[in-house]
Amino acid sequence: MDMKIFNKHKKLVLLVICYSIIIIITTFSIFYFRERLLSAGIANTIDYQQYDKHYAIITSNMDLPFWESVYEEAKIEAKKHNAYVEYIGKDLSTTYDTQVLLRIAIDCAVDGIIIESNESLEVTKLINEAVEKGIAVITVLKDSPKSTRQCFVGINNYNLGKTYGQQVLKIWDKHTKRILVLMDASKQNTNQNIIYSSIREAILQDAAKSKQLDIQTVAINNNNTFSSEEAIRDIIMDTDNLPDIIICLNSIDTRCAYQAVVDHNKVGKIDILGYYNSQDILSAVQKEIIHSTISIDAKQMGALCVQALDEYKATGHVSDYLPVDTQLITLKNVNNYLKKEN
Amino acid sequence: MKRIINSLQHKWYTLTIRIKLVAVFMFTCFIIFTVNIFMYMNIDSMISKINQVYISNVNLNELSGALASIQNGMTDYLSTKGSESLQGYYSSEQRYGKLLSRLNTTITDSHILLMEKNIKNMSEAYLVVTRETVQAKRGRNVEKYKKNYDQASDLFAYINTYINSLNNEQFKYNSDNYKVLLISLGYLKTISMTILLIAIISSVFLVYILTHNITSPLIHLAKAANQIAKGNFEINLVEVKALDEVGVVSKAFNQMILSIEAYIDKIKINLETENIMKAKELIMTSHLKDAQLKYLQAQINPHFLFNTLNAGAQLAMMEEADKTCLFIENMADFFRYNIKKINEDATLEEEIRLVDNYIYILNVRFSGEIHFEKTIEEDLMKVCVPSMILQPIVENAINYGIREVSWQGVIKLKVYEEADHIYISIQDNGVGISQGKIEEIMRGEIIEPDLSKNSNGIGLGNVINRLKLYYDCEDIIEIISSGKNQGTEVIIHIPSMSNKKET
Repeated sequence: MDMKIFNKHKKLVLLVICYSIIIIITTFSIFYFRERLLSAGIANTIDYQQYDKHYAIITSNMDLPFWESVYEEAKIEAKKHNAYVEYIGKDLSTTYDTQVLLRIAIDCAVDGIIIESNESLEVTKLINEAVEKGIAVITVLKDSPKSTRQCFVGINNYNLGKTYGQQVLKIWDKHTKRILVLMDASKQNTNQNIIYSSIREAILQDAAKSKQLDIQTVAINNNNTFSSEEAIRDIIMDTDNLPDIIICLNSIDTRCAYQAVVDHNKVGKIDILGYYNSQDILSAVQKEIIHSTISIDAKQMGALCVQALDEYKATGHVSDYLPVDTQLITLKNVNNYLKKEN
Repeated sequence: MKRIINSLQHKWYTLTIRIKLVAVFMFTCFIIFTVNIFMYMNIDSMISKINQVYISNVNLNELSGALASIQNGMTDYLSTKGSESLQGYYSSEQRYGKLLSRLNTTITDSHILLMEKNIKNMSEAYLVVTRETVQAKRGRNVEKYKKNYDQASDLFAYINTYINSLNNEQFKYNSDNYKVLLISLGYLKTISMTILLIAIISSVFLVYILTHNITSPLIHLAKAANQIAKGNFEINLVEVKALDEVGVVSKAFNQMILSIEAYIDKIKINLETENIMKAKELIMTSHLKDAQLKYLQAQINPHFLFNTLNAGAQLAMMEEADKTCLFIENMADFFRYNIKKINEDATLEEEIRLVDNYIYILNVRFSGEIHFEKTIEEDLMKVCVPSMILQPIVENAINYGIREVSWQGVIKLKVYEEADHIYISIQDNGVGISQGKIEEIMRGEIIEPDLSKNSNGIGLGNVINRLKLYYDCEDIIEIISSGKNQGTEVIIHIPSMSNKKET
């Protein structure tokens, strides 16, 4: 009976089908669009997590992978304490130096500042101002000892220098004469001075070997953006006064040094003692271009900073110095670190 | 369900064509209109969303502008210490304060929101400095306001950097959203076009169905009409489903077909009846004639008549009434001739003798009033002619020519040969015949002989017809009459070639 009706009104049925298709497509498309619009997140309906405290971290060379891993770990640690760490100055259209960033951070009325300080007077003043305004200040890696900062999280520079010195003695052979230590040209860098005197002390401990050694420093003006590379190139080009060992105290110097040595075919003639454990430095150690490098546990550093801030906020007290572990990476154990990085 | 469909169908069939057309048209328009509205609404909402996308940028630009106006106002006041610049500074400050209140103050892990918080806090610090600067200027503390001004300018630069950076980030974020919206818009376009296309096709289809509904009955009607024009009445009646105008026409058409059929049947019957009646009439007439003939025949039994006359002649002779005997013998000869020669040819001699007999009889009746003169060539006597041709002519001459005249009636009979033709002329000096009558006679339109008059029943028309048939010639007779009372002459000219001796 149904087939008969269908045959009789074939055209009508076809028409009804057409209109049903229209209605179906229309309703379907309405829902589809709603969904797409919502999923595109046009409306600011994304839920952000809220925090109680707002911390700021200020460093130089914000693009270094070292500071990035410090920051990431700090963020993770801060989340546990219901705080958020903001990297002041990153992603701004203008690059400001530490002093300006500190000024901004103070004006932003953050709850705590983690700062890779320098020993300039302005910075010290600003730190004091921040402390006065009730902002907790922690210095990291580089201290501002004259300021009223709550805590310093850093490496033991004395031990660092000692390790370098011991490595020098290990590398030493009868042809070793000149040892060059690359340092920051800014006058007030107490940390570096400690490292340098510690290196000297370590080397001079072995009187026999240190007799023939000539330990010198080269001041690299870090205010110029590309000064490291230029200075190191000059050193290498000066074929009369080639050093036998170059000691670098930051990752940029290390990279420039090993690149320059490779470019000028001085691999094996110049030994490099480097700093930091980035991938290329590690692979350079593996290739024996760099003899050894010191790594800082960046994650630990980041976590410690936040913990210090929090402790101070909670109790009002925190220890003055929190050390961060360092590790000597040589050819022997470089593979472990390479695996870890991967 | 079926009932609903049926009732709907029934409703549909009762609508007029006009309503149907308007309804379908409105329906298709409505569908297309709805689809369009849907499209426009969607596009509208998309566009408003796109507008919203960049509102954040617009707001930031406003913020930046307000900030700049504060800085400018302050600078202006510091350079001129004018009261309008102070007013300008205060109003800019107020405006900026309002805009600031819209910024986010919560600590979240959204970089954008955090930047807003920073901008707000920095701006508040900045406003503190600017107020102090303005105060210092009013209090004329030159050193202080100069120092504060530098600080404020620095802060101004930092805040601007922040606003610009935030603007850029928002812009990047918004651009991503914008891209998504554009893609969605593209999809919307495609789908809308598809829906519109389907709607249009459906509408066209619907209109097609409707017009088919309207035109197919008309086509059927036309076909049926054609069939009827060919004379084929066996077609089925047109099926009428709808009750609209076309339905009315179809019904009327069906009615017409039935009426025509019935009408044709009626005519047929009428014709048949007429034919039957005509046939009956003919039979009647023939029967009548038959009866008349039989009546006449019954009247004249020739043998009886002949025998009776002979008996009478003998009686007259016995009574020595010679004239009576002669008279009766003439009568007998006359009638004998009539009977004998009814199917035979005669010679001229016999014919003339008959005429003589007739004249004698008439003269007895009318006391010698008829004078008869003969002028005949003797060698023509044996010529064969059809029987009973001269006597009727003479009879006519007497009856119509000289019967009523007051002068002496003379009949002249001439028979002569001239130029291969034999002429037989019968002339009288009676009243004559009008030319019109002559023509009538020649055309054969004279009325059949009236049997009640003094005649033997064979009329001039009959004589002329028989002569024409016998000699196979149209020009066999001529009637001449000079005029009224001038007499009449009837001339028969027969070709002498065809004459034969009596066999």
